[in-house]
Amino acid sequence: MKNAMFDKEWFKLDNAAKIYPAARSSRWNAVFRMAVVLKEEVRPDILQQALDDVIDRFPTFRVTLKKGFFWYYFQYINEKPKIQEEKDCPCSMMRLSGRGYVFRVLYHSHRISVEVFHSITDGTGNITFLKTLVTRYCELCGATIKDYGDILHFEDDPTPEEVEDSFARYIDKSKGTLPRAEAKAYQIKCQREKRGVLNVTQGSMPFEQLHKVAKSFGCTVNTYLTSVLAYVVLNRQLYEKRSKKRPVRIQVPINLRKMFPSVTLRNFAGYYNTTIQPVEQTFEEIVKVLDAQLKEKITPDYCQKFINSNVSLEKNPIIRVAPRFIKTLFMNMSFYMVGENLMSCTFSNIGNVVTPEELYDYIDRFEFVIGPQKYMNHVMTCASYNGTSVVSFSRTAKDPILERDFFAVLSKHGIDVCVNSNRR
Amino acid sequence: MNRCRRCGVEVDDNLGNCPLCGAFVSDKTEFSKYEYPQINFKTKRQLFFKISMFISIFVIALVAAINLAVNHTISWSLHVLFGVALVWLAVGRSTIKRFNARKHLAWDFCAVIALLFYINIWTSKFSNPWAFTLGAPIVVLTWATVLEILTFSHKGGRSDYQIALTKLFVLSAICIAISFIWLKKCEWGWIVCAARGFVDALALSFFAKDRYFSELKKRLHI
Repeated sequence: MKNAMFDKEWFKLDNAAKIYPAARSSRWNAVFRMAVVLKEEVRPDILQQALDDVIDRFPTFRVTLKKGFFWYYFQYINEKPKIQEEKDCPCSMMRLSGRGYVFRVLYHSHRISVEVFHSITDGTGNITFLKTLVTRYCELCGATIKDYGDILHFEDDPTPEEVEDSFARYIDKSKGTLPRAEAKAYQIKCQREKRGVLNVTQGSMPFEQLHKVAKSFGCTVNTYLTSVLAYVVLNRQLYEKRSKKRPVRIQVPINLRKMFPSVTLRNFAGYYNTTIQPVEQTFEEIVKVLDAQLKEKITPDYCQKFINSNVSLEKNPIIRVAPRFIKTLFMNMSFYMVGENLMSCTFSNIGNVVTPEELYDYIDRFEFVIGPQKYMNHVMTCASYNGTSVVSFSRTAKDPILERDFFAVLSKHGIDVCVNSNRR
Repeated sequence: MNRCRRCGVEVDDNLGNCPLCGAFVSDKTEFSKYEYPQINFKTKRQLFFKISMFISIFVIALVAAINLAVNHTISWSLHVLFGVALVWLAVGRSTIKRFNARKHLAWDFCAVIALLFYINIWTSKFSNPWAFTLGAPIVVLTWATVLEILTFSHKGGRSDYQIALTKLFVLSAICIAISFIWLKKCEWGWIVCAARGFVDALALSFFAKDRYFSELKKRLHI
């Protein structure tokens, strides 16, 4: 069966997608979740119908991962995906056996979650899919929507721009590449949970309060949350009294679509590493440093160099002709050397999710959770919707040290936080 | 909504303890729309794998200890070690991963080839490498035939079969090259294997040209 969109039954992985199947391990397989909590309980029959309706609108989701001799590739699947009742931890291991889908739609009580393997899409692509799915679900539940806004309508045809590899489109070798060598960063010492366990702690808070506090420190909400995270990680290091102090480095993903016009639903994200030196600093000083770093360094020039670095590595003739198992070894090694080991924590903010006003009666909030990491034990994410921000911590560590300190700082700044967790 | 005095945050209704510090907040928990499902972490498959692994290691250690105590050297216990390894090679994959008939079959035939090589080494120290010149080609040809029956008795898996035939040809060509370098002669067993792979691949490229070349293209794209 051929996919009408591609006019062929398979397609190559995009540039950023190639690292994930190669570097995955028994603990980590690059799965992340976008979820929506509804005001009413989820009706599985309607959800299945909504998924059947929208899946053809997203041809890049209707695939399975296959092994080639040189690279992995995606192959179109004829059967429609089935929704599943949530029974495991969020972002549990996904079977990438070459037959099933590399995303899943889960439901439990009031929550609909879309968990995807990072190779098929990034946060923007996943939230676009979820918004279309939920909009269709609400329509089937009786909602009438006048203006869809930026939501992709399920009856529209997918466009070639939505399935393009934007990394290949925006490469410009004349602008140079980024130096990758960085010193190892501090990571919180902790006892790890056993394999397959992910602890998720979420704090919801009014966006207005968050915005007001951030403004009082003279920065954006994103910078404020990054600063609080850096502050608590730094304090933890100073508390541990290690003889060798390491810098605190927070990885902040960047949506490259904001700098390079693209409507792709595949991966098109970069990242920037913000660094704080391991000396005693006040919160205001950290805000100042990070604000300067995020404002001054995340520029089109930086992003262009980021794209060039990634694409030049992929296009290297020696790497291209190496069999897949050698590439796997190489990618695992590079993931260890320039990947998570250089980071203290990741903070990904999907921003404010906008839906048609008619859906406010149906949707309570959006959530964003990143799955277990290979070397890092803590990840923080944020999603806002209709005046409520939800900060989620996912950790493979046993103790909630980081989130306890983080929410304590927010409470101290006068923000009303309500916490919930998947562990009782 | 309950409040944790220690952390200064509100705690969701379905939690009796604060998820940040563990402090008791309420003995009455209520339903919350934000709650997650309760999880049973141990699966039967994991348990089975752990027990099987424990028994394997225990048997190997026990036999090695007896061998050392009786003969003061490791000799016949190596057979037990190899036997256990062979069982794991043949069926171990299914205890960890989802059952896949074609992959299972390939691993089983690999186990048979390993057994032939082991017997060959222990009986003649490889002075007459019959496992390589005769045993392995027969096993490989049998594998191709079983795969063929499996493919044509079911609907799917034809593309995998096409590629398997190509792999058969490439593998045989490599083995012919090895026999040229190592034994200084051409082994007819591998020539039959290569011919089987080549003729089938030729037939596929003739009768199912588009399908076969598109299959090769996607699997060999650089």
